[in-house]
Amino acid sequence: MKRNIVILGLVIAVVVTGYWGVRTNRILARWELQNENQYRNSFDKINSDFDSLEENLATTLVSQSEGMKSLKLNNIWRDAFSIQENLGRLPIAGISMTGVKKLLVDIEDLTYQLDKEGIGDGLTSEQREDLDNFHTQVKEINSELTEIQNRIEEDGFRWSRQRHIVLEEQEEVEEEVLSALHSLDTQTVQSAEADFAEGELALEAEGLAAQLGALEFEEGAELEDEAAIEIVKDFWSERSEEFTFEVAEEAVDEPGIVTVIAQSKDLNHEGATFDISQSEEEVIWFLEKKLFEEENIELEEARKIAAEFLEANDYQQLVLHETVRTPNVATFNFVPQKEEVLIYPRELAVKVALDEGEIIGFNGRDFLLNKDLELDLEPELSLSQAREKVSEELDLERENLVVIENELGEKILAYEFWGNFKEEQYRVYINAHTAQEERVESGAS
Amino acid sequence: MGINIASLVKIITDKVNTEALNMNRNVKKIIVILLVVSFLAGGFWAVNSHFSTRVEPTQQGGTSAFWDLPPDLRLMARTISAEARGEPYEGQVAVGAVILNRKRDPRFPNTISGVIYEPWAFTVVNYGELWTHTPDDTAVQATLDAVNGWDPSYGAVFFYNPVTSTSNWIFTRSTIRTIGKHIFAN
Repeated sequence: MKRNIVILGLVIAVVVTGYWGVRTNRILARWELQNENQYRNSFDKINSDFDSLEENLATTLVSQSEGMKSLKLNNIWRDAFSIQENLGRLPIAGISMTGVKKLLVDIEDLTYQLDKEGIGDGLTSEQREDLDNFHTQVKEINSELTEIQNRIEEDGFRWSRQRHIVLEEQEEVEEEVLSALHSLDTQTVQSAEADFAEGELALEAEGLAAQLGALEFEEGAELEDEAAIEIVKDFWSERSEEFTFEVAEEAVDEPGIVTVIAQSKDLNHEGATFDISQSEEEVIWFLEKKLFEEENIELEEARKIAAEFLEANDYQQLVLHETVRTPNVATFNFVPQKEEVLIYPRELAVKVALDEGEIIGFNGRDFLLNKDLELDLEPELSLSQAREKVSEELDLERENLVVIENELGEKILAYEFWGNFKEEQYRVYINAHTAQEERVESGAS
Repeated sequence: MGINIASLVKIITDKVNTEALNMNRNVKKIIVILLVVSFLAGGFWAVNSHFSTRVEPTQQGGTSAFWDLPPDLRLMARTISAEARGEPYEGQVAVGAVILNRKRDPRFPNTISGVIYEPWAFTVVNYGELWTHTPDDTAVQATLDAVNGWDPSYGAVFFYNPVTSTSNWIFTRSTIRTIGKHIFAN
């Protein structure tokens, strides 16, 4: 009797557990399949984009009509962009497939440049060679990708069974699909490096910390801890009395940068962190964390506080470029003016708390980084010549001579025109040497 | 399935009942066992449904500062908050900067959401921590500072906690700086 009862209990328990298990398993399998389908969709899209890329690169070389060529260049750009997007949807780590990714960026840069400059006179022999080169490499990748796609189907390879795929670690793995992807990438790296020894655009630019740390920095010329703290105290002037300072050990790996931590004696201000350039003996940036009280400072007043702060720290001849107003905080971006030219790549930012009006942040990184910016500030084009290049639809408000960085990372001298068209504000940048339209922007900067 | 269980239970209990007509004690025992089993099943169901619902987005909570952000910055604030809660303030800004550095880097996707949702890129995304709480004002402030150009990581595209990190390759990246528990690397 007792046994029957126990059996009954166990039977019920087993049935309930089994039901639950089967149900959960089905749901899991469904979601895994769904996930796998999305991964395969991305991979198939990469394949079809490579087909399209290959064809567009080939036909650009043959096409004679300017309009058609421009269309082809746009298609190439779009295909390369789409491949990048879909690579990001596969569970492959960012550091993997860099050869292919670099090739895509090189292709994008070339087509962008060609399309922008216009190809009225046809392609130069050098440009043809570049395009042809890209075509050969893309063709190679494409045929291997098709091979990999076949293998995925034959082997029953499942992306969803993989986690974070780091191809560099997959050299001796059993998954043939992954090792094929890896060898495809290493081949591309080799050929890309061979063809672009100089590098059209360096994929990995020199590290920012290294650049900042290296500003006229001589090895061994170390800043004493007290001297670093002194720089910070000077920077904050009388406010520094409310804080205690210490130098953080080994915060930044770069020896040219020292970190100073400020601890507040007042609970409302939890503390601040400063990074100092050893060689310049200047604050690169600082940020303070504080608990905000009610706002009681007007934007205009805050702007004055920011300007006075910069003035007191010997940042001269600055023009307010942009104001970003967020709850409790106003961030002001100032641009230095040199010989009536605004140097946008040397922007400075100051953050003001709108409750008590303290400076709670400063960013002089770009200011220091582009310290040695050497540029001919004499425009070849006169203002009226440049104005002719701007659309007549635009109701022009004001204009400046400015230095901007274009999409290829070059610093150029340009005329900046501010104008309105149908209640929308626009900025048009005309290269002051070549008269080329470098950039058109709308809305808030 | 449900009907099957019910009929099965009915058959078995009928059988037991006829045998146990004059055994009141055993009837009580059966009831107790049934109660225990149904209690366990109920508990099982509760735990199960708890785990399957816990990654659903939270819609409430959070201050107006958070909800005033545009959607992509809200996503960024969530990532910062989930990855770097309890870290120093500049550590939170640095996590935001890493997201933006990746967006600019050709090796990573070209949008904020593309970077954050890239499979297995951020553990908090995979384990749903992104949606289990709403970022506080500090995380919102850190997001805005990162967007406004502060980058304590000096262009890093990786960060990891050396104590809990399980992948070996990450240790081979060149270190830029250490903030709190995180190492920022390139």
